[in-house]
Order: sequence, then C-alpha cells, then structure tokens
Amino acid sequence: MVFLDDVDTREVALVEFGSFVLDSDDLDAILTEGCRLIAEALGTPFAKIIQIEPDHNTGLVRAGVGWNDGVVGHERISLSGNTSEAFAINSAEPVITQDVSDETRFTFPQFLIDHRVSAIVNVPIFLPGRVAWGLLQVDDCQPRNFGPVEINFLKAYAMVLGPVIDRLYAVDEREDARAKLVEREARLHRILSRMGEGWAILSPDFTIADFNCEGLRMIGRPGENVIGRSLWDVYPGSDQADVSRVFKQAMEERVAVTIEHEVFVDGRSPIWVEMRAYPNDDGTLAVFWHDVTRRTMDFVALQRNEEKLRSAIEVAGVGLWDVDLLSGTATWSDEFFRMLGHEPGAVEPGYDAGLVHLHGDEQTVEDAKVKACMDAREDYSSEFRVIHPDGALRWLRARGRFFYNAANEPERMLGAAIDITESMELQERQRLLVGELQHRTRNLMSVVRSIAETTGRSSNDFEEFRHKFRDRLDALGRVQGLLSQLGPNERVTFDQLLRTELAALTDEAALRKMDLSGPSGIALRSGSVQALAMALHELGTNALKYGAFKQDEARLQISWAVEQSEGEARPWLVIDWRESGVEMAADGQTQRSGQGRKLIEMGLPYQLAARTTYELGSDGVHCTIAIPLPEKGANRHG
Amino acid sequence: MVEQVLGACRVLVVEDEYTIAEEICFELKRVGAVVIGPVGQLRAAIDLVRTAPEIDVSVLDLNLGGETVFPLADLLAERGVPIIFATGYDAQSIPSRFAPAATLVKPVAISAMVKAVSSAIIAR
Repeated sequence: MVFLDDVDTREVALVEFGSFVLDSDDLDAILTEGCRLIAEALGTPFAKIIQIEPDHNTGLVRAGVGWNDGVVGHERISLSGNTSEAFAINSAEPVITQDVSDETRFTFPQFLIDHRVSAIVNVPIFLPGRVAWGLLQVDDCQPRNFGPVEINFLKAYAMVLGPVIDRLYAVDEREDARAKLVEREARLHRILSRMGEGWAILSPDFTIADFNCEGLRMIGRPGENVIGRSLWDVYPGSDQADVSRVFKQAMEERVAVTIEHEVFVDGRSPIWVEMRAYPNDDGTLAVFWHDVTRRTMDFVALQRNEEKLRSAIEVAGVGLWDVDLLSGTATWSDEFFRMLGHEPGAVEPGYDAGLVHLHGDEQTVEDAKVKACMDAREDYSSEFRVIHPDGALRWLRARGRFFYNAANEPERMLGAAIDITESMELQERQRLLVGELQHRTRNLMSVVRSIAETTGRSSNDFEEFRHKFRDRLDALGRVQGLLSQLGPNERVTFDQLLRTELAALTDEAALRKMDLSGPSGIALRSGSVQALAMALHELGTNALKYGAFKQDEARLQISWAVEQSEGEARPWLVIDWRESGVEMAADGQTQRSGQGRKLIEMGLPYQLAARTTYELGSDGVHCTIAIPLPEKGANRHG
Repeated sequence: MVEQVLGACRVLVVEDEYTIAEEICFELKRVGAVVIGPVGQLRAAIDLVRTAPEIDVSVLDLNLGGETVFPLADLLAERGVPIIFATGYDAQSIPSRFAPAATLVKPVAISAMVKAVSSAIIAR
C-alpha cells in the first residue's frame, strides 16, 4: 500500500540525505545518516550498510541504526555461502526475504536472529563502473511484504550512495597519499638529520637550504648561522677554493662529483672530509660529507713509510723482483733493471727474462735451485754471476721467498738482490794476498835454511857461524822490513836500500869515510831487493872487517847511475863499489873470497840476470854490479 | 861418506832463488846425483830442456820470478820426465793435469826431497 505521506517522507529523506552529503566529507557519518533516514522513511527498526572486504569473502557491517553495540564495525557476514547478501551481490538485484522463518533459500547470521529480525531487503551498492562495493539492508522484526515503490526507493538510495562513496574514497585516498608523503618526507628528513654524515642542500644560487646536525657539528657552527645564507657568505672567499669549483661544476653540468678537502675549524685540529655532491631534479645540489681524517692520515703515514722504505732500499742498493709464478710475468725495481745492465723498463721483466742474464751453466743450476726451494717451501738464497749486455760480469747475491695459494700451489716469488762484485773481487784479492804471503813466508824459511847451511859450511867454528849467521839474518830482516812497509804499487828505491844497510853496519865515524853519489829514487824490482841487499850486506861486512871502514887511511866510494844501452828494452842500474887506501893483508885474498864474493859473482847473475865484476886490487875491493830495472811504467811485482 | 843413493841420476833443478838452488844442488850432488842446471828463469829452463841430453827426474820451483813453471812442466811431462814440484803455495795450486807429480811444500826438507827423487826414479 502506498500513501502520499509515505512518498513525501521518502522524498524528504532523499533530499535531506543529499543535503547532508554536500556538507560532509566523513563517509561513516554519511553512511550512518543514510541508514537513519532510510529506517525512518520505511518505518523499520534497523538499517545497515555492509562493505565488501578486500578478500571478497566477507562483508563488514560498516554502518547501521538500531543495532546493539558490537554489531556496527564488528559483525561480518559470509559472502561466499548461501546468504541472501551473497545472492544479492551475485545477482546484482535486490533480494527480499518476507519472513525469515519461511525462508528456505538462505541461512542468516546469528546477530540477525538475536535481534529477532524477520523481514530483510538486500540492495547491492555499485560504484561507478558497476564495481560492487557493498549492500544496503533494511530489517524489520515482523514479516513484511516490501512493495515495488519501497524497493525502488531503496534502489534509488543505493544508486546515490555509490557515487557518494566513490567521491569520498577518492578524497580519502588523496588524504592518505598526502599523509604518507608527509610521513615519508619527515622520515627521510629525520634520517638525513640524524645520520653520522654531514648533509646539506644547496640552492642553484648556492644558498644553503638545509644542513643536518652532523654537518653543523663538523663545521662547528649553529644552524641559524648557516641555513638560509649564501655559501660564499658563510665561507668568505671560498668561491675560489677547489671545493667550490667542484660544486659549481656539479651545479652547472648536473653531474655527481667527489672531492677530499681539509676543513679548518677555530680551536680544533683541521679535519679531512670526503665530499660528494649530487644534482637534484629541482635544480638543487645535495651534498654529503664525512670525516676521513683518520683514513687520510693513515694514508699519508703509509706513503711516508713507503717513501722511507724505498729510500732505504735505494741506499742499500737492493734490487727487487716480484714474479707471478703462474704466468711467469714479473715486475722489477729500477735497481734490479740496472743490476742486469738495463735502463729501468728497457726490457720486459719476467722469470725467464731474468734467468737468461745468468752466466752460462748457472742458468740451469739456479733455475733448479729455485724450483727445489719452491717445492721444499724454503727461502731461496744464492750467489751467481750475471752478464750485462755490454759484456760486464757482475756477482749478485739473491734471496727469494715463495707464496702459495689456497690450493697450496706456489703463485708468487718475491726476491731481493744486491751486487756483491766488489766484495767478491776483494775476497779474491785477499785470497791471492794470503797465498802470496804464504809463498813468501815459505820461501823466506827456505832462504833462511839455505843461509844457515852455507854459513855453516864456510865457518871454522861455532862462534864464527854465530856472528855471520846473525848478521845475515839481520840483513834479511831489514829487507823484509823495507818490503813490508810498501803500499800498493810502491817500490823500494836503491838509495833507500843502500843507506839502510850502511846505517846498520857502521857508525858515524865510518860514514864520514864514505863518498856516496848517485840519483835518489831509483825504483827496484821487488824480486831484486832481497838478493841485492844481501850482496850489499856481504860487501859492507867485508869492508867493516878488513877494509875501508877499518883502517884510518881507507876510503869507500859508492857511485851509481841508470844506464840504458841502445837496443835494450830495459834500463840498468850500474853500481860501482870502490875501496881505496886499504892495506891488504897477506891472507886477505882468501879471507875475502868467501860467501860474499860467490853471491856477487854467481848469485846475482843467476837470480837477477845481473852483470857483475869483483876484483881484489892492491888497495881494496872494486866491485861493479849492473842489474836490470823495471821497464818504465811496469809495476809488476817480481 | 854419504850413501850415493842417486848414483849418476840426472836431476834437473829449476829454482829462481840462488841460495835455495845452491843448497838443493849441494845436497843432490852429495847423494851422487848429476845436477842439470840449476836454472832460475823459465825461458832459460825451457831452452836447457830442449837441448839437454837425457833427464831422469826434475825438481821444479812453482814460481819463477812471477811466472809459473807450468809451460816447462808440460814440456817435461810430454817427454815423460817425472816432476817434483817445490812450492811455497798450497798443493792445490797445481793443475790436475800434473796429477802424478809429487809436490813438496817449502821449506823442503832435504831428506823428503831425496826420497821423492828416488821414488820417481824407481817408478819410472
């Protein structure tokens, strides 16, 4: 039955609802008001709006009037089973149950039964585009036959609700999105403000738009001192600094840049920061920086250490190599190139490239040694010769250590070498010297024994032997003394030898009876010195005993000169020993033709290729000795 | 009277030091040897060996005024003349090609030298 009043009531309800909707953006309030107006218009105790939940299996009682607490916002209705709600949504048409107790198509949720609901109308609500959003329901407590007018009213209501819900949803979503954006921005800002890295935003005109706490802490300034001001005002004169140049580049060319620079803060040690600037879409520049003082200092210290080490290695003359054993490639230090006779970088370094410099057989020997040490996991240590491209031969002492990978394969050999050529040469010289010394000592022993033998044979008694032997040993000792004082390439000179011998034999008075004449500084061959000294000793001893030194009237004239005959390679030293005023004893002749005479007449020619004469004149001895001198410039020790 | 153990053996003596040469010769003659030389220079020694009649054994000083005696030793070895080296250096300084040669280290004891000369003659 339809009454005019009823129609009016419903129209009024729709108009009121439309007016309410225009004034409100609150969906729940709109839905609740809608329920109230519908219940009032249809005279039912209940009305509700059910929203399909995202899983599409249930519907939530989103709004309603007349219900006990715990229904609206809480109760859910199955949309997949045989409920009238599910049926209404699937059929997209209103579904009417006149009397629940007669209804056989559907089952009903408990809360409806608890509210003694008897008659129900379900009208689906669609959003624009016919997307099912939910249901509008009216419930009565007594069986009721809803007429077409009432159903149409409900359908009209549901059709109004759809666009209204859609509009409010759009508003909600925008609100949500805005709120989320705000939240996200706030979160980002919190992160940027609190992170342990400096951060700032520079506007295109280099105004500082933002600056975080850590950044302020690092530069030691309060925020109001910095934010909103121009970078060039905050740091006067900085627009010419390297860091500014880099920022300008980033700003103009819109490229990311990185720079390390030193920051000076009053009252603190300067710090090193690494700065990175990234251009933003809005034309600003985001700048991040952090303290790298420790890293920079470590790096500087490392560099200094390395420099020191390099100097030490250079001073020590150590050549280094680093061989990749898997590929055979290597790196050599400059010094190692030079050790092999090359300018640094002049050849391609490598294990084999190094090995080929070794002398002959030493290539195979050292290669085997290296491999043996590598296998035995021992350090390599050896000495070998290398030949330079110019043919020079050098001795190297080398040491190497091997490094193994996780698979226990040798993968690297580090090595160092020093040039030991000089020490090897010194060793060789020492060896020769020791050999020479040994030879001389043994020879001297032989000479001493021979002197003992010959003196023994020519002595009449032990007393005579003792004197002669002692004198001869003394003379031998003096010669050895002269020889041992010689430096390298020095020679004993004749006048030196003569004066030494005479000084040992005679006193001042005797020396006054002598007339010595000849050039000084005539160098003798080392091999000649001993024999010549012994000859002078014999002449001197005889003169002391029998001749020139003994008698008052006697005189001794010794003269010498260097002579070189035509066609002869060597110059000769010619010595003239002439005694005068000596009264010759009757037995003098035999006495004086002993060892001394034999040495001069036979020994010197034998040993020194000398030419000698020995005459016993009526007033003394006249003896000449000519011995070959070393060729000019010859320094060979005979 | 000393026993003439080296009766008429012809012994070449090469020694550059006169007093030592004199002593060696004296001792060798005492035991009956015929001394060829002594010679103190390499050149003269080589000339002597080239012209000398038979030599039974040789006593050679290693160092002759700075030259080694080896060229002479080679010549003697070629002719099958036993060599006895007398040296102030270590015995190692003698090349291995002269391995059969006896080596006496100076100062040479005369008895050792006579013994070495005898042995060389017997082994010959």
